Amino acid sequence: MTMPAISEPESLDAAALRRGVEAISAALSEPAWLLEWRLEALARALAMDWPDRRAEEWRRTPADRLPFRAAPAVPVSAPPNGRLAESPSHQFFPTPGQAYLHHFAGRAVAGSPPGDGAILMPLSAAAREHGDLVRDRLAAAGAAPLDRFDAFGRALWTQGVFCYAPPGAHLRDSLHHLVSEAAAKSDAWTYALVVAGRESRLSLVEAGASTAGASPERGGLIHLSLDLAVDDGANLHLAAVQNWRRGIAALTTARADVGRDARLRYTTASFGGDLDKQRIDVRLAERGGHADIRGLFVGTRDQHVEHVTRQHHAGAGASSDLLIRGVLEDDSHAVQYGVIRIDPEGQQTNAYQTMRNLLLDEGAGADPIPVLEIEADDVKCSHAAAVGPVSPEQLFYLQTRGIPPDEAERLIVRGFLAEIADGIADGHLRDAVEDLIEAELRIKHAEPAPRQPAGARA
Amino acid sequence: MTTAEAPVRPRSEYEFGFHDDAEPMLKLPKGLSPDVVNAISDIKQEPDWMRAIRLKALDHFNSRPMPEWGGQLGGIDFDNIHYYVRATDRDESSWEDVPEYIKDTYDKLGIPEAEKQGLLAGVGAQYDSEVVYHNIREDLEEKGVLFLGTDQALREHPDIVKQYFATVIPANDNKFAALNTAVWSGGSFIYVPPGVEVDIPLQAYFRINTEDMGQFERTLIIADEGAKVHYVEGCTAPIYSSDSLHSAVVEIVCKAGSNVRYTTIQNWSNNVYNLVTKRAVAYRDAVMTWVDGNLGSKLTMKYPAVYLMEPGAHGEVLSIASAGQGQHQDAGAKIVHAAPRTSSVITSKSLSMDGGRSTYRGLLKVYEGADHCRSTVRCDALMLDEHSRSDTYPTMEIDEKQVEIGHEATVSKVGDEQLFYLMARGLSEEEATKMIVNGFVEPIIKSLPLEYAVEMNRLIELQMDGAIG
Repeated sequence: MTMPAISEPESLDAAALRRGVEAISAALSEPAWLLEWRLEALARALAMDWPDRRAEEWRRTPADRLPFRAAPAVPVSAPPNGRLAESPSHQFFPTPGQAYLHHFAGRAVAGSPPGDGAILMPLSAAAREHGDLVRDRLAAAGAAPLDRFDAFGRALWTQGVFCYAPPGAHLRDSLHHLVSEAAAKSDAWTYALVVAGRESRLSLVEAGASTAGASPERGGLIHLSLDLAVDDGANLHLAAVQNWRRGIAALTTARADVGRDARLRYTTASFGGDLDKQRIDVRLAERGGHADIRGLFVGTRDQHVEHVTRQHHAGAGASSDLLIRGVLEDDSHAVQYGVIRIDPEGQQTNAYQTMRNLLLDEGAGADPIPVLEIEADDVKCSHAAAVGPVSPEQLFYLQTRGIPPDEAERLIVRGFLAEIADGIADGHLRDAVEDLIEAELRIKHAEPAPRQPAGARA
Repeated sequence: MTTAEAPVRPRSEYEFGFHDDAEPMLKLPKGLSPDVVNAISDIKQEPDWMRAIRLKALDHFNSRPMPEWGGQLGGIDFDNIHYYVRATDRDESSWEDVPEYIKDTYDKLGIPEAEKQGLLAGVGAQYDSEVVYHNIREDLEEKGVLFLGTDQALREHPDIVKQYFATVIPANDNKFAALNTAVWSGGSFIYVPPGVEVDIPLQAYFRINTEDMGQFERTLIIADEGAKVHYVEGCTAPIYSSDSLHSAVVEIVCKAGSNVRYTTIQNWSNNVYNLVTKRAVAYRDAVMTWVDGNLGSKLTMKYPAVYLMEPGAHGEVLSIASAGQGQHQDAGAKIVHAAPRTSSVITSKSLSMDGGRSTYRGLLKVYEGADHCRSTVRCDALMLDEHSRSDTYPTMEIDEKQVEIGHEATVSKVGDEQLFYLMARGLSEEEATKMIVNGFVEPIIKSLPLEYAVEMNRLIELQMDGAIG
């Protein structure tokens, strides 16, 4: 639907951006108040500067991979008529019968709707059908974008989703939001508003992939803004996974508010793109809240994989835990900049961070930076970070059992990542992630590995 | 921020807060300009190459922005500082010849006494901008060990100073190193010849006496192949209503197989900005250890560095910081692994109390090709009350696969169970807390020479008095 042009920062054209936003909103038949909300975000974006590349959150992001620009997205033509079977995201597809929403080449295709009063639909449609609910929640979410990208993300999105579990609803199956990138070299903006109502249980898969065989030419920004509200007593599990094509710069900005006695598990798995940068900002202000942030990645070629996280304890008696495990091959590089922030009010906080990077090749590298900023004394906080190769002792042990070195390394790496992969609630997605790990490792070892029959999986 | 709620404690507990009222012999007017830099160079009758380095460094200083990270530097008024203050025109080698009022100061600090007792192999004392006393044991002098004020070294051994000066820390390394290079005065120069081991410490003692003054000492240590030396420095200043600036540069060259240990017990008064650049380069199989104790000052920003340049080199930083009321200790370590089979250990212990802020800020860098490096970084922070703050900013940049790199950090308070256990055995809460704090800092304290260990424990207890209970 959209064919964004590329404009450099110095030529940011406010009037053109405004016309672009109005055109998007009109094409999606949005109510007037949603256009207003977008325009407010646009005004914020224009008032902000691009992030300071000297700031800790940005200084390690390669400037040539993530140009600072914003594309005025103007609908130009009718969407191509893609079929699901051709969709690149099919590797992340749910089992038949599960609820999904699929954004593919500008179209939104919905599968069977979720039960238990839950909502999974394009945000523009939700704004029409569930106006008050969406409006209230958007008002709460839109207040403070993390940076200019995030602000533009809220103004320019063409792929919006609203995912909602009503109070008390316990959804048995995961809901799925899939985004497929068409081959065009373009920027894409996705915005997801996810709300787990009081005492509800909700699991959402947020998956993205590109058309196989697309040009690996560098260029194209895929931006995802996520707003997560975990109301008191609710339990939200969000699993974000991406396997974009080469050349893509993927930027995710996620913000979560965790309520009293609520639990958030945010799992992310990164495979594709030239650059994958994830900003995950979790705020815990209420007693009994708990957040788990889990990240796994496999870096190949000259990929840059970056996690910038913030565990912000603004109130007493909450806990949080961060665990990132990554494997780096070839000339890939990883950065983890993770902050635990405890305000003076954040007494009785338990907060932890662990970052582990396994380097498989000479050219690989990692910069783990776990940061503590603590202004309360009755807390338990610790962090640990490690970088190194596969343990020679473990390799030796497996070889004494007759396993060849390549296979032994693959086994160890699989075990290393399993701690995070195993925590993905949705079985189908877990399988897909394990397949992707296998595929990436197989490329490295350049030998055909027999595919395990599905039933053999533990 | 709850800092404002912290109980206000008189600063008079700082026992080195006295000052003497003697007028210095020579005090350059406040402010920084090429004229001031030229005047310093004239006074010292320096060779032209040093004057040129100073003037170039002044340009670097002026063109660099103030750092925006670390602590609050806004209180520094560069126009309201005396960049050069000279109390006496002599650098003596006998305390009898040091002017009486200066000797009194050092007597109160106990320096001549320690020297008399043979606890030290050599002593240097710097009062404001100039070194006023230097002495070294005769047997070491005969072996060719040099221990001089850096100004004296420049006069007597210009070639060796020129060979190493600003090679470890270039003038343009950072804004404050540039400032030091432009207006440096005093500091220690040490050269230890190949194979010579200096068995007991050399000590220097730095004292700021004049109000609104900046002290910019420049220390250069060269340990030749297989040499061994331990250098200890202590720092104090009187309490004035306006702030002083201490901005030193310390450069150390550890040649193959040498072993250098540099111990600092910094106990500046709470109105001193302490912004110091310390760096060592270590060659094949050399061992460089920084022991860094930060108790005083208003703001300290100091990250002793070791560049491991050749295989087998080992770098170690033991850091202890204690931040009380109105203090920010932004301290840490920087280790650069630039060669294979190098190793490093960073151990940091910090205390925050009475609204103080302790920050560990570190960099661990491993270059590609520096294979089989090992590094362990361990940072522990203890919070003594709810008004205080603790930060940990450990940066790791690892570009080599065959390495073993680990980092761990914890932040905690004095455990209720620990307190309860000790109090059940009859200790008061205050005694029990002190005992727990002593145990917490012990791994660093025990690496100090005995008399410094005792002193360090005493200083921490002094700072805790009134902070607890």
